[in-house]
Amino acid sequence: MKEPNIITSKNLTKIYGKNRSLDKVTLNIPRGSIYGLVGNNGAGKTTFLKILAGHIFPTSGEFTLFEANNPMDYNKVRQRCGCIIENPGFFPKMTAKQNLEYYRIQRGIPGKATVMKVLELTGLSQAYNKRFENMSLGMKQRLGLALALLGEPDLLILDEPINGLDPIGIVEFRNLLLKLNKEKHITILISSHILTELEHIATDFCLLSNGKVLEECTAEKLRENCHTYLSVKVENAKKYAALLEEKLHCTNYKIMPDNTIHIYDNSDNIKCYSELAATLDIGLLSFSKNEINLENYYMHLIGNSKEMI
Amino acid sequence: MLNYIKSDLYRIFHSKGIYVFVTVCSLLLFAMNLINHIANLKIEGFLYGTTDFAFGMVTSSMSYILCIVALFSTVICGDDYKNRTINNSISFGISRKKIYGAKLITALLTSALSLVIILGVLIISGYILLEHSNTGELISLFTAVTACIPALICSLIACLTFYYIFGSVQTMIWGFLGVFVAFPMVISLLALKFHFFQQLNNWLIYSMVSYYSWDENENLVFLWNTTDGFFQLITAGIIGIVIFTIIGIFGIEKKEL
Repeated sequence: MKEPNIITSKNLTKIYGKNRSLDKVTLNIPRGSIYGLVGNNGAGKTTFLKILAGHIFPTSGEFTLFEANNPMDYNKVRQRCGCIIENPGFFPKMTAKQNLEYYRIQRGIPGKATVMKVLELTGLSQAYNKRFENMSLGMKQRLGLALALLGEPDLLILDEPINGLDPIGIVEFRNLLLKLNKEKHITILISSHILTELEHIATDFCLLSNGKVLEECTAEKLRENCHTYLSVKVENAKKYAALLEEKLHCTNYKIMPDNTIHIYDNSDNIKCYSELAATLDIGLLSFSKNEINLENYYMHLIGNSKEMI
Repeated sequence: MLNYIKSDLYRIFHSKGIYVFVTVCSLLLFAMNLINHIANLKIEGFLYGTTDFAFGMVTSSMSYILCIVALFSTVICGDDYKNRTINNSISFGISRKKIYGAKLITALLTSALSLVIILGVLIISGYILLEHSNTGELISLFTAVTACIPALICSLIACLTFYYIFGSVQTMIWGFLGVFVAFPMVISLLALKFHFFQQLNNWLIYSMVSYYSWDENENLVFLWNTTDGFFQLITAGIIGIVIFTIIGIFGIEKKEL
């Protein structure tokens, strides 16, 4: 049985001047999931996360965070969240330990040992005495995660947390997120502009572009959707496209500049497409079944066909 | 809110800012007394080596102290917006109102402590190093400080309000200078010509703490030396505290990060 949603949003909109940063975003984040929010720069990922964290206010629409659905209750349930939004904010002259101690006191978390525990968990136990201003970008990101983990949250909201981490750090970070999700049942909402970054960890995805939801689906469904496509090279691509629509009612295709048609519907039904190309004598030059990765699928969704495949 | 106050006190006392501020202010006053003490010993008939002069220096500089408070408020706010530390607090479910309220209380606690230390250094070093005037100079000092405390609190709250509404230390300083210094200066010029501005000028904090005249013995008389003036200054300070606190509470509620 599917877990109830920990976050739902309905027609959430944020307008800055004439710019619609979020445009009627409706999505559901299941409890216990690792939810990947994916979109290019300016897609509205950070805006959405900032609304959840209370940094900004929505222009219209509504959202539910845990069981809270009105501004009066949001602050209560935010105590159960850990957030890193944009760059982690700390006092530059204070050490890693002092910075975390500051927030531990502020949040009323008992036990001084908690701070060292989260530093250890994020691989910063050796650097506890290092000033924030002297830390590398990767260390700063880890400290941000340590802060988010302070107080054992039920929900982690992470905005592009992998930025600045080295390859080993990225792997460690992914493993840590998986561990937290599996062992502590923490729901993780994580954003990235690189879909493949989240490919191995996310259980659910939401693809955003220009403030709009392009698609919301589970990881399995996404993999299914972008599994294969047919590449058909013909002499007269326009004629073949017309026949696809007329005879096979297929509309999900793209004509590439070199007269190749990419068909995204029914990729398993190769026979129909090949027969159509052959029997009607439109000059079939090549025919192949190709894999499409998540990145390309996203590009296809946002209609950036030139750079797609 | 109590937890926020505790955490802010932890931050303030684990940062250099407050120690530098209190040390510099104390050292300047101590140095003044020390120089006057040395001058007393070296120069015959030196007039300024007295506790009356030392304490009078502070009493007559209340308008500068009002501006120093603006500097002190930078220690309190910790540049929360630049460091993005306020974002974390809000993410953790601490309301903007609580943050603002806690900042005001922390500001009052730390500024009270700083004032006690700085005045302590002035008074103790004055009595140790200088000639005792015995003209009621200590009472004059305490009267001035007591009368100006609401005004000083008002300027502190105004600075924090400007900071949390406008979001940067620079705009806070400019906002403070504009409202607390430039505006009263303009009004005091207009007051020379128009009666309405004269009335208004009488209630502006900067003009009130800067006001002085001479009595028949050519002694300086400040506003707080008269009963009416004393209470007028306290009243103006309290009105200012209420106004800036209300502006701050409503301003920060709508502030987006």
